[in-house]
Order: sequence, then C-alpha cells, then structure tokens
Amino acid sequence: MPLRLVLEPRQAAAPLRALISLGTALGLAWAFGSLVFALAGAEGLSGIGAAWRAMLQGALGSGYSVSEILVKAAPLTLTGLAVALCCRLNLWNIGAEGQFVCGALASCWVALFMAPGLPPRLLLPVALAAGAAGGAAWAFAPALLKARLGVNEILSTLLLNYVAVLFMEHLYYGPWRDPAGFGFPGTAELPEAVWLPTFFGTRVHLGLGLALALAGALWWLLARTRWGFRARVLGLSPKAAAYAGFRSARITVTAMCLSGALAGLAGAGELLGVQHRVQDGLASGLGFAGIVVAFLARLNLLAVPLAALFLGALLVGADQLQTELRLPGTAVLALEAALLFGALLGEFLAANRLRLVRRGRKEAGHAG
Amino acid sequence: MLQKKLFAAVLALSLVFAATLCLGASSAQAAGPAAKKVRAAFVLLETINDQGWTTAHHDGIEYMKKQLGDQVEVSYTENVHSPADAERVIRNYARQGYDVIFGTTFTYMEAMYKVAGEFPKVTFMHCSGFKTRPNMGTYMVRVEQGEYLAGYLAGLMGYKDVGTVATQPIPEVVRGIDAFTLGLVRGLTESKTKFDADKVNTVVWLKSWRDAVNETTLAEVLIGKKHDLIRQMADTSDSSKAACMKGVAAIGYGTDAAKYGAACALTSTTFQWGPLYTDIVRKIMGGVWKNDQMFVGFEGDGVGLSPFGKAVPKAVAAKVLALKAKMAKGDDMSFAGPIVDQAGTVRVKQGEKAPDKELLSMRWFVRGVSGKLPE
Repeated sequence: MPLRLVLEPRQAAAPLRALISLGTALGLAWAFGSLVFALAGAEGLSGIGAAWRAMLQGALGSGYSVSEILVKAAPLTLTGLAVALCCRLNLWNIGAEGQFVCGALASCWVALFMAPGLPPRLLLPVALAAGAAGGAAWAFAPALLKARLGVNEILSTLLLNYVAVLFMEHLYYGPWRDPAGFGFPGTAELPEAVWLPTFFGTRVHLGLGLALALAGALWWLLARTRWGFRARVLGLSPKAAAYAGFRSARITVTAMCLSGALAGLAGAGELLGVQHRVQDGLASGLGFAGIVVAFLARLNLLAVPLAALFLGALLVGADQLQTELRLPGTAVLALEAALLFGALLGEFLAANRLRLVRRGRKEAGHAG
Repeated sequence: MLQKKLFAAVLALSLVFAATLCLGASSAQAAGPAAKKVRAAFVLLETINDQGWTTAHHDGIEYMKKQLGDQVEVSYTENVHSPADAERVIRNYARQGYDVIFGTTFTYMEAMYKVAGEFPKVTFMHCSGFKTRPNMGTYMVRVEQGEYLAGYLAGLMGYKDVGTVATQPIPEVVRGIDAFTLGLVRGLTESKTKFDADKVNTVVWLKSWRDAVNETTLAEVLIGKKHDLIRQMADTSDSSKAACMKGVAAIGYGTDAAKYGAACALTSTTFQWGPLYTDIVRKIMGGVWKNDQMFVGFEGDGVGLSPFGKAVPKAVAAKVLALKAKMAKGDDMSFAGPIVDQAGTVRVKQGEKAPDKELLSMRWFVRGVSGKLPE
C-alpha cells in the first residue's frame, strides 16, 4: 500500500513540547551512545550497560566527582547563556570559543601586567571585568557588521574563533612567554592574589556563583525589562520591531556584546579559577559546548545551569569509561554531538508532527 | 491520546535503560582485585592510535606490560588536552590508590605538581618537564641522538638542501632540528659533497603537533622549491607521504613513518618509552625509586632508528649503525663542540658538550639552519 510521510504543525502545550524535545534529545543520545559503545568494543547488552553504569558512577560516585561537575558547569553555564541569549534574538553566536579566549587574555593581561599597580581589593573585580570586556570586544565587530551591513554573524563569529586562538598562541609563544619557563610556551603563573577563591577544598570556584547569578539576572533582563521585551520582539519578528520603531541595530549590537561578555567571563573564570596561566589547552571547546548547553536548555535561560550540569556530568563521567572499560576517549564527543542533534530533532518534532498517510487519500484515519 | 502514547514510550525507554544498567551490574562485579601488584596510570594527550606521540607512549605501555606481566596493572585516559582536565584525571587516579601516575605531555606539569603535593605517598612521573617534588620525577628521551644519526645518514647520501616541516617551537623540537643539522653537516663533509654551510636545512613551522592538511601543503611547497629531502617532524606522517608521492626522499619522526604509509622514508627516528616505563615500575616495585630527572638515549633504548629504507646503501647503513653503537656505549657526540649558531657566535666550545640544562631549554639554531624561531 503506497504510503507517504506528511508533516504538519503541532498545536501542543508548552510542557508537552518540552517533554518531546528533551525526550528525543536524551533518547537519541542514549541510543547513539549505546551504539558507539558497542562499536568501540563493549560486549553485548551487558557491556553497554556496564558502560553507562561506569559513566554514572564516574560522574556521581563520589563527592569529589560531583565537585568536578560543578567546576565544569561554571564555564558551561556562561557559554550556554551566551549562545542562548543571542538565539532568543534569532542571532547565532558561534563565536563563544573565541570570546572565551579573549576574555581569558584580557584578564591575564590585568593579572600579569597591571596587578602590581592595583589595590589588592580591586584586583579580582578588575580582572573579571576585563574578561567580560575582552569577550564583548571580540563580539563587537561581528555585531556591528551584522547590524549595519547585514553580514551573516554565523560566519563572522565562527571564523573569529580561529583568529582568537592564533592571537593567543602568538602571545604565549612570544611576548607573554614565561621568562623563567625554559623556553616552553605559556605565560608565567598568575599571582595568587588574582586567583578566584575556591570552596571546601575542591576546585569549585567563585565563577559558579557568578554564573548562577547571571543566569537569574539575564532571565530578569529578558523577561521583565523594556529592553528585554524589545529584544524578544526583534527575535520573533524583525518587521514588527521595525514597525514599532525599535532601534533594531542597537539592540542587536548590545545583545551580541552582552553575549560576548558572558563568554569572556567564562574564559576569565576558567583562567583565574582553575588554570592560572595561559598555555596550550586553555581553549578546549567549552565555547562550542555552550551551543549544546543552550539547545538542551531549549534556550530557556533559567534551564541553562541545569543543562550545563548535565553536560558537565557527561564529560566528567566519561573519564570512567576510559579507565574502567578502555573505551576510547572520543566516545564522549560523539555523545555530545548526539545530544545536540537530538535536541534539534526534538525541537522539530515538538513543533511538527509526522504522519504516515495513504497515498491518494486526503484524510488519513485518526493517528492516535 | 498522544500524551498517553508519549508517556508509554518514555516509560518503555526508561525500562530498557534500567535493564541495561542492571545487566551491566553483574559483569562489573565479576572483576575482583588480584594479588598485590603495582598499579600504574597514564594520562595521554591524544588517542592511542594517533600514529605519533601518543601511539609511541602506548607502544611503551604495551612493552612494559609484556616485560612485567602480572606484576603490573595498567590504566590510561586518552584525549586529555586541557591542563584543567589533566588535574581532574590525575587526582582521580591518585584518589583511586594508583601507585604511580605518568603524565605524558609538558602541559600537565602544573597540574601534576599540584596533585603530587596532595598525595605524598603516590609516585608521579612527568614527561618532558622540569618541576620535581620528593614524590615527583621527570623523564624524557634524548631525541637529539636519533636526530643526529638521521641527519648523518641523509648527509652521507648527499642530501644537502633539506626541507623540515617543524611543529611547535619548544626546546625538544629546536634541539632536534639542531642535532639533525649537525649530523647532516658531518655526513656531507664525510661524503665530500659540496654544500652551502649557511643553508643545508630549511625550516618551516606548522605551529601544531599534527595538521595533516598543512603538513601536506608545506611539504609540497618545500618540494616545489627544489628541496631534496623532506624532514617530517609532525605526529602524523603526511609530510613524508607527500614527499613519497612526488618522488622525493623523506625521514619520519616519532614512530616508523613507513608503517603509516610513507614507504619511501629512508628511516624514522623513534621514541621508545617502553624500557623507561619498565625501569620506573621496577624501581617502584623494589622500593628504590628516586625523584630523578631521567634523560635516556641509545644507551637505554630511549630512542631508535626504524629499519632503513631500500634506498639506503649498505655502506651508509653500516656507518650510521657504527655511530649508533658508539652512542649506545655512552659516547654522545650529538652536541659536541665546536658549535656555532646562525649568527656565527660560538655556543659550545671545542672539546665541550652542551650541558643537559642547555639542551632542555634550547632556543637557538645552529649554523646551517635556514629559518627562524617564530615569536
């Protein structure tokens, strides 16, 4: 019997849409993950089960691993917010990675070269502010190009990532190289006065609190202020925004710079809170992972920290996959990708329904 | 209706998920602890099949396992790029009671130093760094010895305009290029080949450890400029492969390039971590480990040359192997003076050798290298 697939918009309530979307994301990641584990050498169903158990154990098995999830969640929340904020305006900031790097560089500059001249009490706030400013500055050019000339921000922000990383390499191979480092690339360790305070003897640092507070503040900005209203209107319908007389270009630039500032702050937090020096490996994909976080949170700013925790758990739990089951370390990257595709497919399925229709008939029977 | 179906689907999925979890439980419990043995953990930069640096370390691990058999239990974590992740992974191993933890790349230095301070009873070994603690030592192979011989071989065969596709300008790479050039000049002199003393080895930079596309491009550019041999230094063998495709000679680096598709390679300098790892674990077993800064060349099988290619004449091979035998006996001439840098300044005097400290922090090129260190 000839059948064909038709697509029709779904009129579903918001909670149901969320359920479909999240369920698809997790289900796809789980199915795909199991497949990857099987291909990577997990033996049979029990092997696959052992892999998931190992991940669960690796992520939540001890207080230490939970603290490490929180360490990961801090930058992921900030880069997730950066991506989600822009997406709410229908802007695509794929440049969180580069803004992350520039934020780290700006705060590194403060820590290395301005620290002696600053009163100790101001040191941390200035270093963090510099991080935010650095990220915002990196987002400013694509924002301006988008607002004034309509240059596609996906391409400009994406390409600037590579420029940022090259610039960072230039600095730590060249002018910023640690003079006492035996010629190895990398800056000197930052003075301890600029390190973010950590808690309970773990690596969890102040950046996490900052990220949570910013998630709340950003939600308030978007949901409760006049600027937020205009931004949302612009995201839903640029024509309506223009008709209402909103200054769209200005809103666009502000939003992208704010987004850059968030990613820059993530970089500053990672540098001042965890790594304490700029060297190879500083930019390890936390900016790109922000895209996954934002879509897992379905662009809901208050859900971003939760999505960041989830992805953090995935990354931390993956350590155990390797040590216990000898699965390749790249498996978790495949999982991350599956999550993103799942979230996108889920959004699509939440907005549309697929039906099998018998060819030639206008109306198929009731699907349910 | 739809909601019900969805609920059922979610429920079914969760059940299957739970089932796989339970199935896993039985097999996870099956593996119990065996007799007392040394538990060794390795933190690796890339995946074990990266064909370069990490593959060499993994080969070393396999070698060590073969030597020590039941006496050692090994675990490793791949793809640890960021120092922040390294700290977590290293601390995790320390918490799990591993006896010795190996960090196999320079960028883990701070992380390892920090964790070593927290776990004084665990032994830490860091590859290619310089920081130590009472419970943290370092290890590295004398890349310059293999490089010197590879250069010597090329010089004996009359290659006088080498093109080097260099990676990151860190001391290990810089002294490798220098040693290769010194050996090359010696070989050219012995084979009575005429050459330009200021330019026998032209260096271009990838600024990456691996970048297959640029490796190929840079190799092709060098070949286009009539360089007669391509010196691969990247983890992957793509620059050697590009040379083979164009009918130009090549020399591989780190692992045997001929094994990874560059059949024309005259030889490859190899890093052999196996003897080192075996030695370190044995010392821990015997309770005689010290926080040494181990630096091993031919005398301890830390470096090697892969089997020579067909193009290498027997007489040349014999000469290279004779020099290798000398080095294995401890006569290391790779940085014996007089050595002059690019500007003509004497860096190592007649009758002296460059000290280890100089080798481990080298940031200058010898005369004969054409190219600069990127800033």
